[in-house]
Amino acid sequence: MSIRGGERRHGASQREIMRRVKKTDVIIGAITLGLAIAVYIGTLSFPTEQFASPGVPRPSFLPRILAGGLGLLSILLIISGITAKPEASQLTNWRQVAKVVGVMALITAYIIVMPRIDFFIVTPFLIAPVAVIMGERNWKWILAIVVLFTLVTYFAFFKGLGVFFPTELFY
Amino acid sequence: MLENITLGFQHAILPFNLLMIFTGVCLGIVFGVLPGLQSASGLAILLPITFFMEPIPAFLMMVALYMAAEYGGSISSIALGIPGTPPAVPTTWDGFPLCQKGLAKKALGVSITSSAIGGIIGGIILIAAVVPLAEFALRFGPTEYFAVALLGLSLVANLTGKSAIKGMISVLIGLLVVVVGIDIFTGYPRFTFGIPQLLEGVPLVPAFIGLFAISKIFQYIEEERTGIQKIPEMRGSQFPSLKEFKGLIVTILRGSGIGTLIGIIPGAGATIASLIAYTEEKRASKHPEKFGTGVLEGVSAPESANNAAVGGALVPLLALGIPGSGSTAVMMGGLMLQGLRPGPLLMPEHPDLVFSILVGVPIAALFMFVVGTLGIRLWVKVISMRLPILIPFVLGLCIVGAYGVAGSIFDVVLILFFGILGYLLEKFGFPLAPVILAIVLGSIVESNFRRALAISGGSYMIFLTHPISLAVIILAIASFIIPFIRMRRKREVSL
Repeated sequence: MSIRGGERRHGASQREIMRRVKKTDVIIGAITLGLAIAVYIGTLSFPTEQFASPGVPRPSFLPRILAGGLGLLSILLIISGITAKPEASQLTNWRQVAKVVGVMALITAYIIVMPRIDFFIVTPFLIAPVAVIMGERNWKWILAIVVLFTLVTYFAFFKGLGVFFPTELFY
Repeated sequence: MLENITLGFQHAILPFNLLMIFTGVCLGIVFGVLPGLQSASGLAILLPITFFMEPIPAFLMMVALYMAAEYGGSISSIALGIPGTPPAVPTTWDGFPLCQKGLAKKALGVSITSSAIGGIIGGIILIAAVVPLAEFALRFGPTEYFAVALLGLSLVANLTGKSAIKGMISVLIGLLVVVVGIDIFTGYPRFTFGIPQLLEGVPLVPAFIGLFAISKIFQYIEEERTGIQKIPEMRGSQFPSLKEFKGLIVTILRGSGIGTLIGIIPGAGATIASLIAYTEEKRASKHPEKFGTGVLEGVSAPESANNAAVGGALVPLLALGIPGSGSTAVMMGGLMLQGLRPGPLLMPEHPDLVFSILVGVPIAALFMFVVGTLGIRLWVKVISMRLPILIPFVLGLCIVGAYGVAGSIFDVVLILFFGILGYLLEKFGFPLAPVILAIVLGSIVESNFRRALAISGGSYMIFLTHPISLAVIILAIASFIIPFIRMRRKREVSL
């Protein structure tokens, strides 16, 4: 990473940072416009017969209003993204984002695995890695929170409130 | 009315209910202190637990949490200069300078005193307003309900967040969630994608937990917060002197009045109430130039307002069945989870519950004062809680809570979905409160709109021939259009 004339900073110029901010609203606007179109297309398969009381709008009425409104607002967002004055913004820290994506993946794996095994066995394997991802390195604290959570869940929810958790492996 | 208040009081002071108020206050302060978590997050996590409780203690705990979280936000505002909750933002402007001058304890004392008095005043106005409003609302038909719900959506779209366009997109996203499920008029399944669990629509509990709690957890992870902070020294007297308190009486009364009135407006909430109260206090002051340097009025005004807004926000919820804020939207979800029907009929059908809540608001404010005062050193220490330990615990609780209501792993899938949605929306500048309010108000808007058209045989004139609905619809349209006019004027001025 070289510094030249004070313009290059952390691998990107100020102009690039500002261009990124403008681009974000344009991209988000395009995504919501795509959503609006998808919703409208989805309503094309809705029934067109008037089988409710006379005057009552059909099932497609509200979704189409929402699709139209979302489409219009998306276009306005795209236009405002293109025409707005650029604002200074921080660069995305992809390492931090990767942590979030990692936790999302952990939760996804948990959802798939937990019902097939046992809640009390699998859940500590979610809690402990999340603590590590967040920066905890003291294994005693991690063990303490896993034990505390298991006890609270068992006594307060399972025994106290009668919530039955999956125990597929043992049932 | 007096009989009902007595009935409510008798229920509220039962030992178990008082214990629930105490629990709610403690949880509320913790949620308020931790920046990013707020009353709505705490209520969303608590929601599935209240499913297993009787309605009265459940709602007393929720009201107490709501009240205490508004105060809790001021603790990190004053001690760290970081608002614990959005309504505590103005408190930072004078609270943190006071801390830097070595007057943290005094600032916290002014905050708790103002919050408690604001909460009590809001509660008294709530009791006075909700009964006549509920009786008036018995005359409401589908057109009026449609109009008021629409006004709520338009206000929340424009009053929250920096961008009106993004606020409105948030509303539409919330309304799209409502559309999922069987259409109640025709029985046709809309956007269920063949998933049987979606036939009855998207369940509220996972949506709330995902949007308000899981998304915050993702934010904490991204921001790499460890929570270990240097706590300021607590020196000197905690309470204002008699002379200082006399000087703050008008401030507290003004802030409480503003807070309650703003809180009553659906969609407005404590954040706007505290901002307006601070601005008005500065305008009314003989020394406006001192605001921002560390004056007690700069702490007292927003704190009395944001706690008074709690009572205010409960007025439309209990009288009309229309939530006044994101937190009351979650509470409305709680009512529906208990099988209760929010609206003007709630009071005649369940007077014990409604009046317990009404009486519970000032009681919660008193508990908050005692707990907040006695435990001041403890609450300040919460700021330095080990977040890498707390957050995974909260995540686990969210999963347990979501699963526990219906015993369905699909609800856990939904909290992940809404958590990702909420995280992405906030990341790109879309406010979350409109999404939540739209999810709650959306079914009211659609069902009453279609019911009104069924009555009129398809004629839209029904909305114009009813004077209340006409007036409210005009207000709603104006509040949709005004931000665009302002945007255009700003652009013309800058050119």
